[in-house]
Amino acid sequence: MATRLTGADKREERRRRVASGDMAAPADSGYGIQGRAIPIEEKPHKTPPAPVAPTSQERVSSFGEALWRFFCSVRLAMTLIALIVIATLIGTLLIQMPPELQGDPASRTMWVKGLAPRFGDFTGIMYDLSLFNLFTSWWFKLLLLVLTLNIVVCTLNRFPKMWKQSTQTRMDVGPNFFTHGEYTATIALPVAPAAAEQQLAGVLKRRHLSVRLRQPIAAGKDQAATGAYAVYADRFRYMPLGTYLNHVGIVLIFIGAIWGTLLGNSIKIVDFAVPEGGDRAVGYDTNLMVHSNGFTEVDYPDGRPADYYSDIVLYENGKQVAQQRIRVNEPLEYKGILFHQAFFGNAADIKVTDDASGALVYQSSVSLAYRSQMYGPNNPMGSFSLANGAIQVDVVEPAGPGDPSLRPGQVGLAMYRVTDDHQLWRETLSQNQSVRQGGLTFTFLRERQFSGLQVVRDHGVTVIFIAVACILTGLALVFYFPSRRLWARVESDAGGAIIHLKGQAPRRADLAREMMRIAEHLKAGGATIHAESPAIIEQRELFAEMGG
Amino acid sequence: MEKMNFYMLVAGTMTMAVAGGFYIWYVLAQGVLRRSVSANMANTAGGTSSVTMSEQVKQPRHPAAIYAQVVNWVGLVFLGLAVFARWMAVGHAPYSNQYEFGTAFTFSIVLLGLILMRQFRQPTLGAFISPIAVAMGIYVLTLPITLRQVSPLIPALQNPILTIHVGVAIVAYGIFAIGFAAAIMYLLQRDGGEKRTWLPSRAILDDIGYRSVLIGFPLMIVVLVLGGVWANIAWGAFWSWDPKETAALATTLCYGVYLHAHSLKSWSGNRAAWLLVLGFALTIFTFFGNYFLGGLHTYGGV
Repeated sequence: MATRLTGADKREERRRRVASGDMAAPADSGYGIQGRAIPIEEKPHKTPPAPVAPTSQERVSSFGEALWRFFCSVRLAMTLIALIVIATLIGTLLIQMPPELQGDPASRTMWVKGLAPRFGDFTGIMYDLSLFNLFTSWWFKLLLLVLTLNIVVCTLNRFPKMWKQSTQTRMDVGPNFFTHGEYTATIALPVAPAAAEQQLAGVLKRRHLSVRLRQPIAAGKDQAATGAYAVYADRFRYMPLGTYLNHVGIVLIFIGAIWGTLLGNSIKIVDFAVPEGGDRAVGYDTNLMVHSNGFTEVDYPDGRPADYYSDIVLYENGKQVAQQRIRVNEPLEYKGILFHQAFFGNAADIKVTDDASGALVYQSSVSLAYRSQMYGPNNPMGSFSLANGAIQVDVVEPAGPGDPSLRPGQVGLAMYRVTDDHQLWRETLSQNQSVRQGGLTFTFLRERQFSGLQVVRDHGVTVIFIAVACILTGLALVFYFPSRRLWARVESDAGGAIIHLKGQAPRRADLAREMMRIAEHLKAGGATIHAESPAIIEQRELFAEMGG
Repeated sequence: MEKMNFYMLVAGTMTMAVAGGFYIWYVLAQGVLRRSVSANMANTAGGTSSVTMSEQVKQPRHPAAIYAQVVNWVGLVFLGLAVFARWMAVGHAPYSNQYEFGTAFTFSIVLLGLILMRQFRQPTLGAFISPIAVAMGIYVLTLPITLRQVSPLIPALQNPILTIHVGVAIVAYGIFAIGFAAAIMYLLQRDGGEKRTWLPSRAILDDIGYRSVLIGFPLMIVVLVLGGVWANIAWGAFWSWDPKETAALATTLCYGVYLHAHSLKSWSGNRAAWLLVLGFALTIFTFFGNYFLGGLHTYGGV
């Protein structure tokens, strides 16, 4: 470069480069978003201003600018996505804490202790870095947040110019417009300019471009204009805007993911166990009650499950509102709440009577839907409360036929004082057996099955599906409807006509191919190609290499 | 039908090995042939202007390319029959375990390879695609015999979405294999100076790689979305960071980075090609994920 850039010029230059997002589109493609949409004439050189010390206001704005610049870079997006990829890979390879432990500090500590033999001294550091609950960790969320900001800033930064590109294209351009650019061609035709223009328009139409401007250039506007024509044609000109649909979709996904939390009325009960013949209230802001008419499991001859389902009835304010056989793939939906068949197991019918009065204290099915380290990691257990929640009774089932502590058909009962978690007693009961403890008689009546449901209400799902529709539509538009724009200037030249062509498109290979095709069509009509951009010549060679 | 499926798979894999041999022969011959042709052209043609390049002499296609294509089509038929036989044997789209998925994956690589080779008229691609297909075929054939037995679907898989979800995944994986082959060739081809005569030019290879992502990337998103829709029905959550779905997301994101990189001047070229290689590595990681990742997709495993 002949002239040295001053500090201000360099800043300007840098800003322009950043504003373009460092896209590889040629400087004058219009998609690179350099200052102006289409440079018609060379920008006159600015006289370098005298250097002045920046005022505090300027410093603030330059900080804001720097921040804006930081967030609108495509490189930042690439770096962030790469980091997210690495994080997700760690998350898939490294054991992750089961979500049900997240809320309970005691079981968390126990779980992490269990990892010590595998990771040794690193266990603590890895836990502190949230490597075992990576997907809910603050730094993973931060990565997603920065990426979202990045996308939003990039979109805001580029949208106005891109919109202008698609809606307000400059169609009549001066002769200088054709002298530079990566995709230009000069083609001579042995006919008058009017006929050549006719021929060109025909070719453009045959190539499915919509010809939007055909007009004689007024004489006197420029020297070579006598008998000259300006032509403009384009195809899929709105399609590049599809990229905004993609990026808006991605942002919508993040919004959808937290939408339920924002609204505050989401429901997620993962351990909703209902014993056969039993009822359970959904709670939250609903007056819904689930009743189970039974659970059924059908096995294949080899013992693998073929089908399992629960017959459930839904009551609202005591009135039946729905009834359905729910399966894994067939949940019941009522007012946006989904009841999924999630798991199943055994429930124990327990009766408690007061010895003194003979009054019934408690009688219900206890769903053994949990596991506890206290009774062994594979022993299903459940619990119920007595004395207004002051006392908790755990009911435990054998882990399997070989369980040394409990025989099949037996249950273990253990009573705790809730205030200090002190175990008062522990007994083993067979069916119809009773035990007397502290003035109460506990009877194990029978075993039955329970239906394990998952109850979910998440309005974010709708947002997610809208987001996904946006992304897929956007991708289809950008990928499969590549836009292209072509300008032509037809001039008279030594008894014939000469056509100056220039094209712009975000997808370069497609544009080169298009211009090559147009030239081929014109050639078939008697034209000779005078000059072509190297990019088009290269495409022509490739085409020859591919076998025509 | 079970037996026919296995024999067809054996036949398909062997045929593909033969096709691969022919492709390699073609590539080797291409190196020698092209060199002599270009030497002749240099002697005869003096100042060829850029415009007349399109009228350059059409070279006769080496017979090895024709043999390779024919054998490749035969291999495709065998593999297609293998998938079909399995479909008939199990009574649903054969995508429910690693054996069935692997068979379909092999078929998909060969089919998409043939389509792209035809579209771009580059038989050289076959020399790089066939080994991938053969390796996948051998892997599937050496899977434990228990996976070959027809076993009925467990309740969670009894959903028509299975057919589309996995079917689309297979096409995406297959097309990424082609993109990977193109990227390897791109990296082998010299940038400046004298080009390797036995490889297509970098511009074509870049175009093939880019096209593969233009098809594969949206398909991967469809796979993720269908998985989400299905999970939302079956498990009440569209996303649960299940290892396999997370691996599939990582794969998709990698190709997302590629799409951005391809449009950046400083990142197109070698770096973009390496991203295609990495993307396929992640695809394979996702494919084998059933084995070591655990989670909700484990039913397809050992």
